[in-house]
Amino acid sequence: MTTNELLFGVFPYVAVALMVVVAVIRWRRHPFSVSSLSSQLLESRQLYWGSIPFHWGISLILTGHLLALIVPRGFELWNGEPLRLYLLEATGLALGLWAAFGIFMLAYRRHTNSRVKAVTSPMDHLIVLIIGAQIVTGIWIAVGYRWGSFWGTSVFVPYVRSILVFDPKPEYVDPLPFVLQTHAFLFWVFLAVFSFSRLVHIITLPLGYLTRPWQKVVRMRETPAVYHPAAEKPLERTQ
Amino acid sequence: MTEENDTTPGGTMSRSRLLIGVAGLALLLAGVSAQTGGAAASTSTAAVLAQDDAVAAGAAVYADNCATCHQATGLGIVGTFPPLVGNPNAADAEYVEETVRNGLSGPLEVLGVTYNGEMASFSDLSDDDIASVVAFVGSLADRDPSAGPSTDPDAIEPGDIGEGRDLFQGSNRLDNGGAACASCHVAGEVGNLGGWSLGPDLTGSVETFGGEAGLTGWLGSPASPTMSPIFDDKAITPNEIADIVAFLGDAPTQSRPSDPGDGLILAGAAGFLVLLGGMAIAWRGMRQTYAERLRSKR
Repeated sequence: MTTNELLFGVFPYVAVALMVVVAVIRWRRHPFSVSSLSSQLLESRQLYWGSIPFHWGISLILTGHLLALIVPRGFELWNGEPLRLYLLEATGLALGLWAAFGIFMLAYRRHTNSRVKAVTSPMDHLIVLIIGAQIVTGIWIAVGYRWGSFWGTSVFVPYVRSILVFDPKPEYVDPLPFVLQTHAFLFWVFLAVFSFSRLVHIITLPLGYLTRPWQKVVRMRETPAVYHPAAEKPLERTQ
Repeated sequence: MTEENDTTPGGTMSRSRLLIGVAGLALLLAGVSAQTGGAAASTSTAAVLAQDDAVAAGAAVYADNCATCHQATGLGIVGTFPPLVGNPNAADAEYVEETVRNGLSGPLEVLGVTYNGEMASFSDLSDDDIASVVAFVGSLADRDPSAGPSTDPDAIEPGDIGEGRDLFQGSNRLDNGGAACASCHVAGEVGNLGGWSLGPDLTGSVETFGGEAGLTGWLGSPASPTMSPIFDDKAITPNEIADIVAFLGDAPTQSRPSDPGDGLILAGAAGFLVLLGGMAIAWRGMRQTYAERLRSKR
């Protein structure tokens, strides 16, 4: 087995398996750990300039990647007109830079703010590193190996689809430049560490919040209120 | 932000870790078996071409190293790349090995056609690979070339430059759904906001391939490692090839739009600044927390 087959034909399955199996075990044994430890009450200003750009930027870009996987032909038709291609790529680059700015702010905050530092685990640093590297290689590709939204539909889409249908075709990735291979590999690493880290909070997307009435979290120095009798529902903090 | 505020309990993880380890190992094995299954399927196509193992192995080496010029069919391109099918030299194992190791240049007559090209040395191939590719090429020598060369220069219909440009940049889709050339390449006036791209600049590609016939033949089954998985089952049709070749033939005379500032980076950076600006405006409305407001009322 070649290195390429190992990294891009076998490892994806290990990564996805780890993600699913560990998430289930964690959910069953430590349901309250399936979350991301919020540090908003410890520091909110830098969090705003880190969390908002990072989360919106990365979510929109991830959505774009997923859309390309689902409707690659739509991307090809859209990109057939150069102006539309430029618009899409420039938008992607702007969102990528935004997300990069955000993850840099978050990393800076985790390293410099002593209150945030106190609740930071080594795994937090690791995933900031992985996601940071993922964003940097993404920007690198967007600028240096154009046009990702165009060739991606012929290179990465069939590759990822081959993984999904259990007929791995790592040969799609084999001839690509190192940066592109790194970007693809880091995605599988991301899935592998997903359930071991705070990334697991992604599967807890609180869709109920869309229909729930507004709720304000109030913290007063004098009264450490955990349960507010005026709230419509008791807060789910039974631990 | 709406993040939960739970703490991660420590300890009592050893049994789950063990479970995770076992599950991971099981899935690793499953992955390995899936992978070897896939590899077996892909080599079976080579086995069709050849009877014994050496020839089968040689077919894979051939596809990776030789098919770019001599074509997947072994028929070459008339006047540009000599055919191996029916070529008496191909049956001479020593001659083939010498050629693979040291390359070949200068005039050469094969099946009545004179070639004057240059073949690079493939001395970086392993001895095993060379032995197997020599066996494979030897098996081609016995075949009947009556199927004719893959490309007869006289049979090419003149393509349309404008149609070719539309196909190149993807304004018109390739019939069989292959990727538009501009996904990865720039050429002539199709310049990609500054010109960087995944694949090489194709402006001079007609010359690189020794004329329009050479490029036409190559596009019939693109054999580069990046292109072959994409186009193997999405062949570019002969009419499309003629148009694309016409466009590429005209490309050296076209002027690329000047883009000294590199539009993509500028546009991306501008969008980024707009996003930050929007955030700065939003921040003014959310600077005070509820607790801070309560305190300020006292």
